[in-house]
This record gives sequence, structure tokens and C-alpha cells, in this order.
Amino acid sequence: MAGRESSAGPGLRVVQGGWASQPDGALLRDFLAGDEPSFEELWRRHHATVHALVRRYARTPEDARDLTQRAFLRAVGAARRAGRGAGVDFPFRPWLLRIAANLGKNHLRDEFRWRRAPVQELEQAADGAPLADELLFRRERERRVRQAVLLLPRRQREVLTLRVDAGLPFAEVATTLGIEEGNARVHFHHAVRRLTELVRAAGEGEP
Amino acid sequence: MNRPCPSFEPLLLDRAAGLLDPVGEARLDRHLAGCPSCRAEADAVGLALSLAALPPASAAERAAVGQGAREALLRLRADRSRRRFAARVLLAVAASAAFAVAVPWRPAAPPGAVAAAPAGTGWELPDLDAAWAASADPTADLAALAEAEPLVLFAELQEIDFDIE
Repeated sequence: MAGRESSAGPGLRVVQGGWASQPDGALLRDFLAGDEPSFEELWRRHHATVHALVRRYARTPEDARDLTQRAFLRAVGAARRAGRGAGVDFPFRPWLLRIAANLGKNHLRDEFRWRRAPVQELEQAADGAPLADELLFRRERERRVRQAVLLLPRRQREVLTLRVDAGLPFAEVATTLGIEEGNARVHFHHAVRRLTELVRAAGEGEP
Repeated sequence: MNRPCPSFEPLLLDRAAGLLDPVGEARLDRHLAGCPSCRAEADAVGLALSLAALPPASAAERAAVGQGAREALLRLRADRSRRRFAARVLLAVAASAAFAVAVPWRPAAPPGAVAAAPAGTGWELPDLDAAWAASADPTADLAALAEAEPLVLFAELQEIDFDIE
């Protein structure tokens, strides 16, 4: 913790103000200088948001966990290579979330998740009994709509998932994607319109 | 199917996005009370977003992810080790290449050539006849070999049962 710690003896470190007062950029800088607890604090702050974001693209909980870790690894590695870990003002969170979104999309492209998920799985309950028609219909609609989310144009998908999955306010969605906040809202509206059209069309066959 | 009122559709989407303030909410609610088309649209938008939303992660899944910091650190360390190893290999290859360029290859001279050649002159073919005459009589070794005691005596050879059919 450069500039914020005092030596109080071998192996003992005193951090003034605690982790909470440290901006992400300072923690990243300290981690890149070899301070591993700084990474743990970055993890504590952001892992839940990253996980919520990458779950959309993951086939299993293990995939989501792995993607969460990989997003952090990539973010830290890219910051190191770019020499951008030195600045306290470095916007680590938008950097991390953008990497997570790209990583998720690439993972999906590699896995072809929807092709691997057999429809038969939807037709069986956990105990092997057939699902009720209504529940089966709901599951099928969920599957189609979630698939449609993944097939949205890139910006619409990114805005929708950052808003719906990660729960970010539009101002942060815009910062993360490097666009205007109004622009983010427009992309969100377009995405919701598309999904609504799909639901309306699919609803005509509702039992 | 009736379309929603153009002036209220943005409000429906804003509400779906969680962007409506209380005044906008009240205005939209008043309109929805008397407009079936906008009510149907509001229901469809709400349904689309509820279908699109993922179910929340289980407590076990959240806990497993939350404890992943140490594992991520291990992966970072392994990644760092790999990069350092790759850098060392690259350095070794670069050093070898630099050595090869700096020290050009020369063919090795035959034995004796260095001693025979006076300093400052090039290598010359040695006088093979003189070298042959200077060496010992080549037949001497053969004569000595013939007189040497054999390793196996003839009598011993007869006692060996070769058992060959």
C-alpha cells in the first residue's frame, strides 16, 4: 500500500483508513506491486457483479465460476501489460465488466450453449416426472427469450445484460461501454421491444 | 392487435428500465386504467423481462464464487510463472542467436596440423611418407599377437559341450 502504510515491525503492516477508503485503482496498483490482499479486496468488491453478468453466458455454475475468475485474471493481466495499473484513478470496474461481457460472449461462441442444451431436459422434472403443460410452456418461452437475448445486436445485448443481470444504473452502463447514457437507454428500449415482440408472437400458442 | 399509444410507449419502457420517477409512475397508472392497448403492452413488456431474467444464483453457488479469490490468486501466480519461464527461454534463445552471429563458425584443423604449421602460415598437407616411416613397424604388432598365449586352450575347447545338432 504505497504511501498509506507505516512499518510497525517485521511482517506487520498497518493500513491507514482500511481497505474501504482505497479506490480500485490504488488496490490494482498495489496488487501489481506484489500486494496480494489488494487483489482479495478487489475480488470482494466486484465478484458478485461479474458473476451475475457472466451467468448469462455460462452453461453450468462451474462455468460461471470459472468465467468470473478468468475475467479478473484477464483484467489484471491486461492492466499490467498496458501499464495502466499505476494510476490511482484507473477505472478498474468498467474495465473488468467490459472484459467479463466479452469473455462471456466468446465463451458462448466456443461452447454453442444452446445447441448443447437438449430440449428433452426441459421436459423432465428433477424427479424424472413430466412437467405440467403450463410449466413446460413457461420453460420453453424462457429458453427462447433467453436465447433471443444472446442473439440481440451487440450493444443492445450488452446494455440489457448490464442493466438486468448486473443491475447497474444506466449511468454506469454507459460508463462501462463508453457511450452516452441516453444512448444506453435507447439500446435498452430497442432490446425490450424485440423481446416483447417475440413473447407476443410466442404467446399466441399459449395453452 | 392494438398498438400502445405512441406518447405512452416510452413511459412503459422507462418503467421497465426502472427509470420512471413517482410523478411519471402516477401519470402512467392513470393512463393504463383507461387504455387496454397500453395495459396489454405493459403486461407483454413485463412478461418479456421476467422471462429474460435469470433465476437468482443459489446460496451455495454464490458462496463458491465468493471464495474464489484464493484460487484466482493461484491461477495468477501460475500464469506469472509461465510468463517468466517463457521469458527465460526467449532470453536463452536470443543469447544463443547473438553468440552464433558474433562468433562465426570455422572448420576444425586436422590433428597435428597446428603443430606442423609455422605460426602465421596456413594449414599444409603433412608429409605422409615421413609420418609412416617414423611410426613403428606395422607387422611387429601382428607377430607379437601370434606368440601370445591363447585365451582358451585347445584341450579346454574339446571339453566344452557345444550341444549343436
